[in-house]
Amino acid sequence: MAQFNSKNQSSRVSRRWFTDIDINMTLHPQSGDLTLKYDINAVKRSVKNLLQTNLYERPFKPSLGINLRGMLFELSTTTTDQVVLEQDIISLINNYEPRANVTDVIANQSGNSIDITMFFTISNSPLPQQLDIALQRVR
Amino acid sequence: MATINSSNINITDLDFDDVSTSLKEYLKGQSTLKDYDFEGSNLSILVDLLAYSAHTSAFNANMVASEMFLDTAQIRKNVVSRAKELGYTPSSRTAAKATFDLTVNNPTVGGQTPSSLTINRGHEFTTVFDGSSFTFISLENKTITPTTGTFVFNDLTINQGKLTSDIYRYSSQVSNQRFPMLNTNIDTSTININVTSNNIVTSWTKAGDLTGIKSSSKVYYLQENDEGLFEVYFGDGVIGASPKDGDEISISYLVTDNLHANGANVFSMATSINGNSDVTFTNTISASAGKDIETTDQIKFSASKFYTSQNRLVTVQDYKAKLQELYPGADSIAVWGGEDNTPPAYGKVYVALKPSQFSNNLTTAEKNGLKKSLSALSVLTVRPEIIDAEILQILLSTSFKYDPTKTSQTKSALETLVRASILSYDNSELSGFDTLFRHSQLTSKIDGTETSLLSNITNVKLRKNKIATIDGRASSLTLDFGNSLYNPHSGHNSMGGGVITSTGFFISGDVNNYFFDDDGTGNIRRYYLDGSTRVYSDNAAGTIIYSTGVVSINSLTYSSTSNTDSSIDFTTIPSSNDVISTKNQLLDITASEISVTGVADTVASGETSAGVGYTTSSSYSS
Repeated sequence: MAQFNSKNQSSRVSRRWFTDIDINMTLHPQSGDLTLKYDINAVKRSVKNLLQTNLYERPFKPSLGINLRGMLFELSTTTTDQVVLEQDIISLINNYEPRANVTDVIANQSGNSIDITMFFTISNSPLPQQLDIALQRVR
Repeated sequence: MATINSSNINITDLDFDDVSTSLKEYLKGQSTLKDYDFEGSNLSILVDLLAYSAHTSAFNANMVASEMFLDTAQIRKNVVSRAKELGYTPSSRTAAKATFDLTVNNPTVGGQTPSSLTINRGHEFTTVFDGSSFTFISLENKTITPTTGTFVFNDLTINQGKLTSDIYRYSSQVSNQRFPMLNTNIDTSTININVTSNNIVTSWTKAGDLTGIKSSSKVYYLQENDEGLFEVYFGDGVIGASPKDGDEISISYLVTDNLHANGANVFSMATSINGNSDVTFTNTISASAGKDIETTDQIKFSASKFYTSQNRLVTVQDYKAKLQELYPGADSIAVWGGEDNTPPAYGKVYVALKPSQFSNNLTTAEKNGLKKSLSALSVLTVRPEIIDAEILQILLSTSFKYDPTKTSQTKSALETLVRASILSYDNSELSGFDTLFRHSQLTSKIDGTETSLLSNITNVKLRKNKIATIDGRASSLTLDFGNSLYNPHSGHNSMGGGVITSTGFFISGDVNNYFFDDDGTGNIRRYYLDGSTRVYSDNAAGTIIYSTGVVSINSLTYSSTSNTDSSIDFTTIPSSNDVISTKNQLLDITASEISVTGVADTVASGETSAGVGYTTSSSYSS
């Protein structure tokens, strides 16, 4: 793992509220350090991770996640199902991502794809944020 | 980057959650990565991954460590392997075996009475038990000649199952060659191994103590392999002989059934003896001793006991452990030193073994076999003696009160239920040596028989049966009740005959029917009845020690007894209602002697007011 002991890196990090590693494990082209994600990007990545995690996928945390991928192979959902899905997403974020305050979730299922648009704010920033996730089966 | 305090990591935490918490505590010591505590973050995924890995490694280490010790191993092959380190081989399934005398009626061979008859190994018998048919076979070749014209195979033992064999070719090119017996239901005590080398067949025996094995000893070793099959292997030419290249190894053994036919006692012969099928079975001892392969828990228990005894017989536990090995499936075993015997016999160890719930005693051949095996391992000056179990009968007289307004059962139906409760207690609690008849447990059980039962008074008596020698020679009798007898003061009930009563007997040259009683001061008296009056012929016919329950009868020449089997029953009253089985005694509540009387409780039913006219039962035996 790269070392995070350069003065520049430290000073850059100290101004941030949230810092996370990049899941792609890419290195900084100049310093060779592991690239990081900060603040809004870190939270968005976290929310994305939660939505892309299936129930029972994480060891010893069976209730973490939501079965979005499994729904791609279900029959077309009714309006009621979509409302339930939106509520599930809100519950998931409220339970596992305390930094995000969800204001609205819109889930559309068409064919074998699910489009999710989530509106939220970050606890230390009043600016509204939007996250779009599109899941589509590839086979 | 802030300094991380590595002491924050608690390395003794092995659960996933604890490891995860430790890692997060560790990450609190730095400021570069701050999202470790949010479940959706990438860093959290890594933390979980590390915790999962640490937990899995810890679990594996724990499993490996557990399987390394006999106490904690769970997987059978590992338990067997740990037991092997202690020199212990688990016992296999054991076939049920039955014994009987087989009389061949009017045998002919070639139209003439033969001079001898032979039953070969594998000779089949059948029985139907619990609705299923089972095959039994003889494991020995047995030849008899007629005794006064009668052909009888005495004490013929048959074992449940069928013979099978596996044949192998020995090759010295194969290192560590093993010869598994390809059946899980094998009874390893029946293994017969013949090795054919240069057309010469030799029988190889199971290796015993290492000290008796030489480089030329034709012995085989037995063990259970990883797959749960028993397998044999041979010596290396130093500790036991080694077969030669190309030798044929034939392993013959008995394969028993999944269900044991313990208790089967009606047999028929499936194959004829030299063409003769008209046979009669007598003195049949029910099939018993059939048991399953040792479980892992049993192996753990037995292996440690076996190791403690070091294959030598010194303590009582040594004997018990060895007897469990020599006679697997024994229902109960009692061992005591000769110094504790009555009368004391120093230099002896007494062993009583109850083979199964269906039989109380071993056959003569079994006793001889056990004695020989025990003698080989016992301390030089100590001789083991295998003796039969003695039955100490408990005679019960129960009087119970019941509330007729709380039951629809009749008095006689309640009496039947109470009798069944007593027999149930007998079956469940008094099945082996070292057992205790607990009076209060029985009375509680009786009270709980039916909701209308209010109370019971249960009186206890003890009875022992002693065979009198009737061969024209004088003989004395000694019997040990093993429990103190009721004698609250010297001379207790002297006029009424003390606490001992006996069945009748006749002595040589005398026409009177005699009985025994005691005078309450330690003397046994012999008397006969003139009408209902006791006429004492001998006021010192023997002694009785009330504190130990030992009764000794002086020498008498008995000519016959009232009992048809030449025995005399001695009945007495114990000082305690609790009865212990000592030494080789087996307690038995004699079903035919159970007396049960139910009485409607007049207070509970409202018939009696203020207890007037209410009667109670005596708490003392008469």
